[in-house]
Amino acid sequence: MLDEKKMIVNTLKIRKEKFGWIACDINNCRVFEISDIVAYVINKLRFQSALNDEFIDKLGQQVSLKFNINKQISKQKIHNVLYELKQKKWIKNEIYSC
Amino acid sequence: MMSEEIKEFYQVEYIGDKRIVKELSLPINLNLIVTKQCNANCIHCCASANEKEGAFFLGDIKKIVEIAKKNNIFYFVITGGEPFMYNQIWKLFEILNNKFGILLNTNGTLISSDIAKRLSSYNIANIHVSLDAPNQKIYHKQRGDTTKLKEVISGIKNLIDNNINITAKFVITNLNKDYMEDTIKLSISLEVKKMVFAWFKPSGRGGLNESELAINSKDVKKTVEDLYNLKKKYKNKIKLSFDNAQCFTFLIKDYKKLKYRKLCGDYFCRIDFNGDVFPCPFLEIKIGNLFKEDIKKIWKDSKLLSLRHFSWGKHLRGVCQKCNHNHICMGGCRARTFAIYGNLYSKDPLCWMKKK
Repeated sequence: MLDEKKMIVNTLKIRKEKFGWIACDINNCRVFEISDIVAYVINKLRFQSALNDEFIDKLGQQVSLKFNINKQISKQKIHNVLYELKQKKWIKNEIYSC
Repeated sequence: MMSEEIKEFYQVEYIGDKRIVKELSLPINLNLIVTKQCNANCIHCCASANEKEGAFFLGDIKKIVEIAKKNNIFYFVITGGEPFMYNQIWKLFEILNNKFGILLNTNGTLISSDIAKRLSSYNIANIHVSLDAPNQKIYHKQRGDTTKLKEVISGIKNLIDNNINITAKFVITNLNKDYMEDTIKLSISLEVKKMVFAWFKPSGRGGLNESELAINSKDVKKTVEDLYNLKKKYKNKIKLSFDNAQCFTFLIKDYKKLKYRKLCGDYFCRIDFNGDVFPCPFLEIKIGNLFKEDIKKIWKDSKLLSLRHFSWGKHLRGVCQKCNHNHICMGGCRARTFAIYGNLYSKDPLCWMKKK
């Protein structure tokens, strides 16, 4: 399951714009705005060669610290980033499609 | 709030009182005309294929890819001429595969089952296949006699058999405007899931044949209405959308809250063989050279691209200047206006509005 997520991350491209982050999945033609948290998580996942539970757990702590979230971001929430990205829950406007 | 149906049809976004087109520091797509060679001879071809020699050197494409990597560009649109006439096409796919989104525009006639199978091994986001006639007679009028509709149909079938995402692209001209429904039915019979309609634009060879191809402004309104009704009629069978959202204000009750998705200089630009950059495939005004200038600088400093900020009649002339709808259509297609009137600020010739 983690390998599958790593593959999803590998097909995502993100970049910072003045108004915030934008992301696309290169397998389809849609570009979205994403939140700072999602961009941070994607970047961390992208540069990690292999995902494991320990890393995901640590990432949850890092997200909580970086974004001043009192409660620790759960492992499940990190797991869910990609799922939620797909489900548009963490996505703001779709800004482009073709 | 506007209905989902209208949003999808016109590809516009509801954004309250904010403008949908966010100002990007760089384009999302780079549109590469990889070759001017084509096996068809379309009378509306904006690239004037086969009239001029030329193709990208692979080395130059590699330079552009490096620029794109460095600047985090998302997609490449591969177009022509006919991309499958480009002798480096497979090397190009190798270079782009899994690093960028790949979008391809083709007439579909060269896609054999072997080519479709080979294509399926690459991550191609979408292929636009030209399908704008339901029979050979109309196809022949618009696309010449060197290719055949049955070859397009075969190409589409091969792509679908290999699970490749495709969109059928219909360029609306005076020759085929009465055949939209028949072509939709043909697409449905081929199991095409998405079809996009775009107005003919009088650029390249299309400019020379403008009088034969251009729809008059009265027919524009009828064509939009027809298409909107067709979308509703076939909504459970195929997704229909309209690439050029201008000239539609009469359909939208809540239009004051809308801005339409404008592409020219907002999301992509076209790169020619020598690195010259243009705002779109249809507007022949150079805005810089990718091999000589920084892409960020071209994108940021171009006076022409600064037109993306024009709206609300600030720069528009004539009827558009005081028109109540200019904040939606932003004057329509600037390439069409430029081709017909020789300036960027007059009204879109397709607009039927006479007064504000």
